[in-house]
Amino acid sequence: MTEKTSIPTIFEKSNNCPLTHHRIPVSNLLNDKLSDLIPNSFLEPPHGYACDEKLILPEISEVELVRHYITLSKRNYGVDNGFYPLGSCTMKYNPKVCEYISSLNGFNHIHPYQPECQGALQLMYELESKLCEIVGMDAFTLEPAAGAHGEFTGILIIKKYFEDKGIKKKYIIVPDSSHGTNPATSAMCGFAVIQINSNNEGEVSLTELESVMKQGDVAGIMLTNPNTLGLFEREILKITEIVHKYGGLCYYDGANMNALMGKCKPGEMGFDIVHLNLHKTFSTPHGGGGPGAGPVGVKSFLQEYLPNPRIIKIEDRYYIEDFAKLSIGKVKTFYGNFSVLTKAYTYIILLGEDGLKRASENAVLNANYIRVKLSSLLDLPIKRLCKHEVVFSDKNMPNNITTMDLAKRLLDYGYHAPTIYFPLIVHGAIMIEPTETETKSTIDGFLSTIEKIYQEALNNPEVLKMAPNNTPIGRLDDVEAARNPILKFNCNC
Amino acid sequence: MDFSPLSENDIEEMLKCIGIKKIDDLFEDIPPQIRDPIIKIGKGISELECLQKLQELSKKNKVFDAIFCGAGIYNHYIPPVVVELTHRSEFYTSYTPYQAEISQGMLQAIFEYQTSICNLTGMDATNASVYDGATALTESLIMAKAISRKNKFIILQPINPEYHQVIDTYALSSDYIVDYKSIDILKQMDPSSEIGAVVIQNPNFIGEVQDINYLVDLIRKKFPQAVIIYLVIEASSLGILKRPGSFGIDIVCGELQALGLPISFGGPTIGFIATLSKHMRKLPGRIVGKTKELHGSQEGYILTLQAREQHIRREKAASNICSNEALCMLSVQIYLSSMGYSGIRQNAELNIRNATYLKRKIHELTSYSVVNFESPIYNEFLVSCKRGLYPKIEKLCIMNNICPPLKLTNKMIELLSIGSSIHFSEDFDYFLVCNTEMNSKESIFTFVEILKEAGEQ
Repeated sequence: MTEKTSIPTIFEKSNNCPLTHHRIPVSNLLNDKLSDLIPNSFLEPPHGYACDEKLILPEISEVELVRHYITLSKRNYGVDNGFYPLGSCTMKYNPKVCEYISSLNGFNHIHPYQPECQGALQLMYELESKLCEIVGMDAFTLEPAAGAHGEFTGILIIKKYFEDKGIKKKYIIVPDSSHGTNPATSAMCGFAVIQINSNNEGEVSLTELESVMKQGDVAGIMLTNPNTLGLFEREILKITEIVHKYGGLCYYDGANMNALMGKCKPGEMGFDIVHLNLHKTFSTPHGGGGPGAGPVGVKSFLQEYLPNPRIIKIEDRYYIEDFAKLSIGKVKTFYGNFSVLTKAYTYIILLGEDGLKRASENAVLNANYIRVKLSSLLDLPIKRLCKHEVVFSDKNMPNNITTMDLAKRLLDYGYHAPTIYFPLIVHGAIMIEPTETETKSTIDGFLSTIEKIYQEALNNPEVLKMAPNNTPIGRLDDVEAARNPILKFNCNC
Repeated sequence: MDFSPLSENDIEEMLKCIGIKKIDDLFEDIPPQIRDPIIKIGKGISELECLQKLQELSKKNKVFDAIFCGAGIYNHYIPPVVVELTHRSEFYTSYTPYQAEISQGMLQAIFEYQTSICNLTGMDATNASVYDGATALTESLIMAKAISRKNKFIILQPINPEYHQVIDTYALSSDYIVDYKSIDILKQMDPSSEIGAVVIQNPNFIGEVQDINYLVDLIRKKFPQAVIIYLVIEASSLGILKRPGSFGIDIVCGELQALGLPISFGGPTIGFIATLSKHMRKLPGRIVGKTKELHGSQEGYILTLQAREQHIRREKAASNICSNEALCMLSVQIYLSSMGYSGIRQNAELNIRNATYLKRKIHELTSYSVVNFESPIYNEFLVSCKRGLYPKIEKLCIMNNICPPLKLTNKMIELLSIGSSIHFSEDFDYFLVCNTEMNSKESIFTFVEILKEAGEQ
């Protein structure tokens, strides 16, 4: 068992008086008194104290700074540390070449309003057209900063489309297995949410869908395919047909696109709008929770609604201007998370159509291998082919061991936990997504660890209840954290 | 090149274990008419070819020696230690820190960042970032609506036109109504209890540092119910300007790119929202709190107040935000720690001096006039010259490897003119000059010479 430790914050390591770093020179152009340039009453007193004895920011030597954040980095777990089977998140390996390219001066040190940026515009233009090909859409915007931001963009397009046509629509349908962002986005865009139940095969019930669509004021459906159970919606063509029949539009949540590259296009399934998570499928890193990128693709009848500005190519030059006539407007400043886009573009041309297809195939192969191997141990609610992820329930767990206990014990063995308690329709869900970038021996090691934990659950359940033991810190009291929020250092100051 | 390490043998064995013959059998549940489409994006290439191709592409972008353009993205010094530490892959290859026990590094960094932002703004609570400054503002307006229970907002002009456009887009989704007013117009407005929020950008879009004390008094008198939102887009100004919290502001929000992030063609950047304790449960996005172990005595950090968020509350959530800009947050925190308040103070002072120097020099030139010459400025100011002169300036700048200032487009002028007291004449070109600590004395002299030469042509 590892001894637990807390690390003092950088504020506690700070000197109690300002240091002089000489990172910045003093002015050699203008020596007027500062108060002649800006009234003194507009300025903070120069001492740098937030209150009597507390500095606004830490004052610390560079070596202490480096050691502090290196220490913190060692208390963090990334894909580069080990297996990260976090379902729905596609934690695949992030190639270093993509990082390297995004840091080139020609991409990193350019201003969004500068002239002479043809390389950046070309990259974005080509990325848009490659994404169109991959998902079967006619036009893409790269502006949204993350998946949920893409959802917001897409649902707003739906809203404006109907408003411009003078058609009143009130509802968006989401399945009960959907990501939380789907209903949250619909509500944020002013739609009421109708949640429809999955059938006992874990798929959208066509009869329920049709009866809801018949109401007539449903703007459309938000759907993930494969769904969050990792299952391909086999009736997908009928689903989109029903929605269209009653005048609705179909929105594809691209969170699970890693299952389908080169195997099937959302556009051909009948979807009208798609968002992709470049930080999932196209391997730009998650960055501890961002920055991501959530480009949105649409069929041609919606392209005039995309956010401005749009990029177009005339002869051999690229232009970025407000070309979309019915645009919903801008959803973000400038043109999106550009450096994330450079990584995704690099990834896509590196793998190419053959590599992307193989990535999806191997992701699905790995998930099904896990499905078959683990189904003798854990309860598999729906027993058929899965796609890139597989969801088990806690039904077969012995000695009142919960999904949480299993997840925390996995941390002890050096793995990241799977996604747990999601989707909500599976009791104690354990959602495993291995991705294509793991070796067979890594997956075999993971499987035998689960088996080992299962044996512990039978013979020594206490060790699971107390897990994790080998991490820098033990299970934390989240109830207390929410009841008595401490959100900054020394907050009684 | 791809990154999937399975060998032929591995695949063979795994297929056998699954009980199928070939990979294609894994996809037999896809309707055959849409299975195995053609995607025409070209075959994969080697890493070397890829590198060469992208290096080539990157060279089609001009990397300037000096940059006189700001307007929402600011070129500042980033100490190498910031880049080095942010590139620890334990940080950048991790997911959102849901598994607290193995994510203490990121969680503690967020907690430290929250402390820095609260201290810098003089507020009580902040979140772990949102997408960018503009969405920080729209999320703040949604918060203000929840706090004031009113949906009419006033935005003081001149506000950054990029932000103006994003506000208008979000107004399509939420039922809020936005009016843009200059301070002069605001002064003449009748008092009203219907206004839910007033937004002050400081420094404003044309670089002016405003009299916040006066403005807060004015707004409190006119609109006693209004939530006052202080929007900061040039966050390095927080290194010297009086902290917004000391004026009795309700929400401080904006963009932190100026504190340690590259200009990177405008993204990624990082939005923040800071507020008073009483409103903290209305903040969108992730928040980190400090707590204790359940079975031990050590202190640790955890994502908290999650009952506000989409993965718990679904359609009743405060916002749909999920991924934020965590790695940018880390850069900002390391930047602030590497500079200290003393460092960002010195830097802010240098910005004021460099920009004010340039403002005076340009105002002396016969062909140019600084529109806001009389106002105190931070690091930007607005210049007018006769129509048709700007393209000459742009051309000379590029020849001298200088990124020219931003010429206001017709669209920008249209947006800035709504409810504004700046009179834009069709006989002039307008450009916004930014001068940070990064432009050397020599490049500043060259830039002044360029303006002179263009004016004399």
